[in-house]
Amino acid sequence: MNATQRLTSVTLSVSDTPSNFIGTCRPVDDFEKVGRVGEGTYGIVYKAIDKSNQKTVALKRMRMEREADGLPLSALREISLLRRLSHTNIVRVMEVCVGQDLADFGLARQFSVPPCPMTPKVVTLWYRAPEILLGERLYTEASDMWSAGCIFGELLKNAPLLPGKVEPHQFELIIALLGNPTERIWPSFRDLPLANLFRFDTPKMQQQYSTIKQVLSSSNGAAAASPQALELVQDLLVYDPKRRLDTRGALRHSYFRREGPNPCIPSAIRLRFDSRSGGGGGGIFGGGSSAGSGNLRGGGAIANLRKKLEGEQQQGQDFRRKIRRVDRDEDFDLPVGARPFRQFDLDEK
Amino acid sequence: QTQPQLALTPLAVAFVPSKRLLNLMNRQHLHLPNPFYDSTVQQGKMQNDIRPTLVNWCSSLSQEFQFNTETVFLSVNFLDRYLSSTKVVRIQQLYLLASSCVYLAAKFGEELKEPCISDVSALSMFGSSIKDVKRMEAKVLKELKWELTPVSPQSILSELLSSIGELFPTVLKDKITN
Repeated sequence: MNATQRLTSVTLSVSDTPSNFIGTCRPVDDFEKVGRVGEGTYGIVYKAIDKSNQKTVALKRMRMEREADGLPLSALREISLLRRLSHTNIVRVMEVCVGQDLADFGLARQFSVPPCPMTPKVVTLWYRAPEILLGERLYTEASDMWSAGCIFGELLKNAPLLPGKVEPHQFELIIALLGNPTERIWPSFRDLPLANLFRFDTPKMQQQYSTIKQVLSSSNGAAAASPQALELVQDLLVYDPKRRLDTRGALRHSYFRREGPNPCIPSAIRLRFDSRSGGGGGGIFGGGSSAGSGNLRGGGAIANLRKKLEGEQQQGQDFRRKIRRVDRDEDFDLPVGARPFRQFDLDEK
Repeated sequence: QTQPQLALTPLAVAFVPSKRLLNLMNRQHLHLPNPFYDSTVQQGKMQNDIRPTLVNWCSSLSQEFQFNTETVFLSVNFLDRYLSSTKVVRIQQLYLLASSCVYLAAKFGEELKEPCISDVSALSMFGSSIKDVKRMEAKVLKELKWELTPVSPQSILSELLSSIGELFPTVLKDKITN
């Protein structure tokens, strides 16, 4: 059996509803690869065109070479959990083609409280939280907040924030960025299962101060991060998972409140059509980027577009007001005394 | 000195279900087997005691591997849903199906004990090969449309218990202080 025959591929699309998901194991030749989008731990993602309807899809080719155990566990979880999710910001699984040829949810799992022990072999190394690196099995959503911090930092820096090669290297990078963990800032870290595997006394592991400000101040053509953006990264990249910012806290963060542009619905995102070239002024990430502004200069078309955008900004503000209302009210969707039961409907399925 | 009144029964507490519990309840009618598959899909060809035997088989396999009870529920759901859509006649195939369902459920649901396909094959009733298990796994996934997240009674129960656990200390504290 050759290698390509053992690959599985998944077709993903952002907006389409899966039409005939079931059993339509189309050969991967039905899709024409246009380019490579990215590569993760579990496979390569391609941009592809569906030859039958000329629609653009994402094609993920799962790595199967290491798998003697049938379909890899990560692929299984990724696909079945993506199948359940339906959101404009989350890719939708269109088709799965198993046998010949075939969004990072590889180790997503169903949420449980109280937390139950989970395998620590998760998450792309670059985004792995320190407690998981130290072998914590009872990790929580705080670990995802760390990953979010890494990705936010990556957007600011325009390069991966912590591109570790192996686990010890990853920890060195974390320490180089944030300083070394101490009992004061992270009381329980020495009790974690793998804490004694990492040597914290080597020179590389000794770094007293956080260098995150310098790292994100200016690099790789990215503009300097604004103070609020920096603060958000710092609050997300906190060693102690208990002190790390949670989702609710992150949404309330001053980065989203005090610094423009404010959060809004995607269609109301304000694009800057600055005729002055280059950055300056508040873009999305504080410094603003000049990309794209050059193509959209001059003419009445721009004026019209701007008018339209201003109309949409009004919508955006309404939406924002709604968001505020929502998070003032902690458990807004749980009116006391409401019947939690949905009518059991046999006809529905 | 007043004694705190602890004569509360759990039912007296105004119970506000957690979001997770609501989510489970709203999804509980999804991914259920056809209750009449025995007479419709299988056309009455299944022996009377075969389903209980298969469920027992799932259960004892899970016990052998020390899987969670949730895995047993999950595998039985997979088994029934597969049999709701595909006719299986041979007893060997039925056992292979049951083993594959346990294997699949464990892959999906077990955190610390990843199942090993050679163990599943070695413990199969009729000597199914690794290749057989893999093939059956793919078939099951296709028939279940990759929907591996049914709500089991077990998961509702444990969610219910844990949310009562979360709720109780604070409620009791409130009652005592008032």
